Amino acid sequence: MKNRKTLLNDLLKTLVDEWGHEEVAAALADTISSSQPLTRAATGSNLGSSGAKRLLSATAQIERAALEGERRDLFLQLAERYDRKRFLPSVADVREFLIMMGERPIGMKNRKEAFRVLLQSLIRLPDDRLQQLVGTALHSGPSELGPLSDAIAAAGERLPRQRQANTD
Amino acid sequence: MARAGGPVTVCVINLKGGVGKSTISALLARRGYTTRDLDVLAIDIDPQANLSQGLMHNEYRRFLAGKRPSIVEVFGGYIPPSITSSAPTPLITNSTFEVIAQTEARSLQLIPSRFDFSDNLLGAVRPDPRTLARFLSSNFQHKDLIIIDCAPTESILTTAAYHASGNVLVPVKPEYFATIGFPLLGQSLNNFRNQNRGNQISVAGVVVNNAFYDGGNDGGPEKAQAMKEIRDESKKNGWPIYKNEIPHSRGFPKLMRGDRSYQGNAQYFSIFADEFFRSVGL
Repeated sequence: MKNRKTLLNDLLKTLVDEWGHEEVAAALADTISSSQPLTRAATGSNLGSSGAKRLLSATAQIERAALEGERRDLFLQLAERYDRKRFLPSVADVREFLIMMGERPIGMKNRKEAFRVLLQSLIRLPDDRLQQLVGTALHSGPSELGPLSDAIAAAGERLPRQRQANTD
Repeated sequence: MARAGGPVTVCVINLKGGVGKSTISALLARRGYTTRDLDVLAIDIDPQANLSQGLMHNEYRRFLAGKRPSIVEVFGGYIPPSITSSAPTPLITNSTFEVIAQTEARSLQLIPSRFDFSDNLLGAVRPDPRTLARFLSSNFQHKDLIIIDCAPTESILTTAAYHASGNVLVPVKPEYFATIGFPLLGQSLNNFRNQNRGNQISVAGVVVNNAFYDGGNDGGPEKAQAMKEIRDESKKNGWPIYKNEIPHSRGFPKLMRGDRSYQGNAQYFSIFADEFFRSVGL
């Protein structure tokens, strides 16, 4: 079974053989520029000087997107957390998040590509939901006992029984 | 979305700890929401709060630090004075408790537990075991599914879960000490029915949970003996046993931690889950 890269190369070769390199490149440029402004960012990629595809970070994708004001700030905060792996740290997390939003995600090979898919769903959310996402640790990855233990201990210090035990 | 007969309410219980009640509760709540498109409420009435940690992951620490509303406030009937309000405030249900996930039409909500829950009830003058049932009947009739994760010891919390539930799901691990929970649970349910003849509560089924069983899916003579005892005790009580067992997998603890890097055989939980949902009419 062909992998994705081989399939893509075969398809491109067919197009180039039929229409030539220049016509295919022009048609691709037209398609990208006629899409919605967000789509340019949502392709998640940038052609380097050698023509090789370079996937953009989440933050770079948002900076290229047509977003303004507070909404742009919210998306930038989410993107920065995503890049630091403090929001949906694995592709599996992104997939689960999208499923919980009622989507049926496909075709995510790595996190940068996954952010492109994620963005299409996030863009539909109202500002208050985005604000909740920015403020929650619900999607920040696996739990660890240490911080939980500290949180339980801190809460326990407020209980009268605990203070009594400490003075015994 | 409201169902004609109200939500299907299930308490997940076995008077023996470590059989997978919280894991099964969390996975059923998630699966009901994601694959059956149900509007779900999960309730954690175990002071160990494993269901809460399994659904909230790192957010549970913030929940504790922020003193956010929990099952404690449900039994108290109000939200205590806080930094934002110097007077007690009423419980406003839909916005009060934790939202794990939501779409426009439905959500997966959680009423979390706290480790001081037992202390809080013991400190009350006369804790009322009908409090939870009244709260749910007044505020969550629009839900499709309510799952209650119970503590493994007989207490007022057990009675509260019975009052609030029409169905019981009994996980059991196929080993000797785990089966000792069966006669205890049978006695507990019978006592409740005798004292509350107006309540209708029945065991939807017993599910054999190999998830944490050291013997894996095929535990040899000891498992065979335990399974015979499970079948005998279930028959004695008139409890059906689900055909599909939950498989052994290292993926289950990872999922409860919020680590999705490996699922393994945990993905086959879905086979039991589908049988369970069919059995309760969902």
